[in-house]
Amino acid sequence: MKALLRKDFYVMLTQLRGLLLVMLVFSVIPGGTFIPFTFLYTAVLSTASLIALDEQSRWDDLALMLPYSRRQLVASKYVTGWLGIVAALVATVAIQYIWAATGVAALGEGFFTAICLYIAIALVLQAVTVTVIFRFGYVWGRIMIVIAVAAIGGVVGAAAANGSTLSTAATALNRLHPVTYPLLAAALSVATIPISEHGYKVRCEK
Amino acid sequence: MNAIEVRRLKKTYPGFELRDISFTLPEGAILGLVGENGAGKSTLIRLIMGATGPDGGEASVLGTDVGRPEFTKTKDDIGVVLDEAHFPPSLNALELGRIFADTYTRWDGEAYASLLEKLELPGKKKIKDFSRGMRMKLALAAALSHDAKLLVLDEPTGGLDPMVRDEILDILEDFTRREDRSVLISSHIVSDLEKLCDYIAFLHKGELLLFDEKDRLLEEYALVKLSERDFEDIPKEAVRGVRRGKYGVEALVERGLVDRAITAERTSLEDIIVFFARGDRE
Repeated sequence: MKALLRKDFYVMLTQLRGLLLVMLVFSVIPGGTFIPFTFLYTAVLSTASLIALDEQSRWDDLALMLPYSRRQLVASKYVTGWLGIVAALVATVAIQYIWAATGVAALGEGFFTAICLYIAIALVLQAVTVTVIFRFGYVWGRIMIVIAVAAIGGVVGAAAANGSTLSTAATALNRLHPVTYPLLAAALSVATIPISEHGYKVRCEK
Repeated sequence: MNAIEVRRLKKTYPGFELRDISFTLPEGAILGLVGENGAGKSTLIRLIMGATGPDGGEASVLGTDVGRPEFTKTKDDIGVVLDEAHFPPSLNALELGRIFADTYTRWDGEAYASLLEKLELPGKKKIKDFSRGMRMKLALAAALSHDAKLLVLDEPTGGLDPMVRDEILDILEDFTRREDRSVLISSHIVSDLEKLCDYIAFLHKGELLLFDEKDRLLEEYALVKLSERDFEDIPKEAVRGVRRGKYGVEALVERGLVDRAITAERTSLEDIIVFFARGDRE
């Protein structure tokens, strides 16, 4: 596992520098408007890009013949994504607190809750992305994710049109402590590892 | 212990079928897997390395069934070189060494560094800037730096100039000096395998047409050049392949089944393979 994480780290530093820079820029903008993008960029795009680069160089073919189990190959991508989210969290919180302390921009009232929610959304989206890509490969996986996002957008849009559905969901969320959001999302993320592993196995058989 | 044992291995893809492959590679031996492009060599290697599961049959490598979870640990004893290096192109050889140091329990950093030097591979140059020959040499250096007992190489010499090919074959010869080390090497360049191998397997359209010791093959088969009328007298069961020309018939025959009075020429491995493939067409 350590070898796979090291490999992903090197690849991120060399090939995904632009992505990391965008993440940093989003986290630096005072006021927190762009913070959601920091997490989404880190969690979804970096993980998906790493898998895409593995497919492109055919490292994934070689890795299956090296002393890594299929579970390690799958789990390493999750761990890379989680580490990315932690890095985004540290960068965002540190920078936004610096802005607040220096008087550049105050922290909003719901900053903590918002951060918890963003982490949760990032974890869920990362889990879905990784699961789909491991099953269908990067090219087909990306198409399916676009379709899924459009479908989810449609459902959320319909719920928004029916204001009571959305407010019921918001009330249910408000009853939970904000820390619960990322914890539940992390549990979901871990639960999808065996699903991704199975999907990857099915894809390798074809 | 055998290095590789394969029993009735099957794999079906749309438009392709690998049928009932069986063979045993003893420890310390070198097996050359020959076959045209698309014959199923890479599929067979993927099956042997557990990268994909079979539709039937079984394979074991260094005493471990490749379908069992323990095989992940066994792969610590196997060096793999695929037809392309398949390393992330943005990395360099030194970074790759650090990754493999965390991968293999017996990784030898000094051996790797000395191989990089011997093969004139720069440590800090990105792999994407390497030529194909350099990438293959890098893959070989990585495969030889963790005290592997078995090397599995899929078309390592394909598309390389003769000098690099020769260099790679020399390294492989060095590797096999120790008696407990085995090699499975696939190639469609038969002359490369003729230099190196103890055993030859010929895969043709997903079927294993031939598996035998190289020296026995060269001993057992011979070429005869006859007129059409004389060729009629050769027992049909002795003929493995025929080439008909303007001046008569050239055939690969089993030496033991042909009358000693008929002049039979010593044949090459390449001829044997070509005639076996032609025999299949006829």
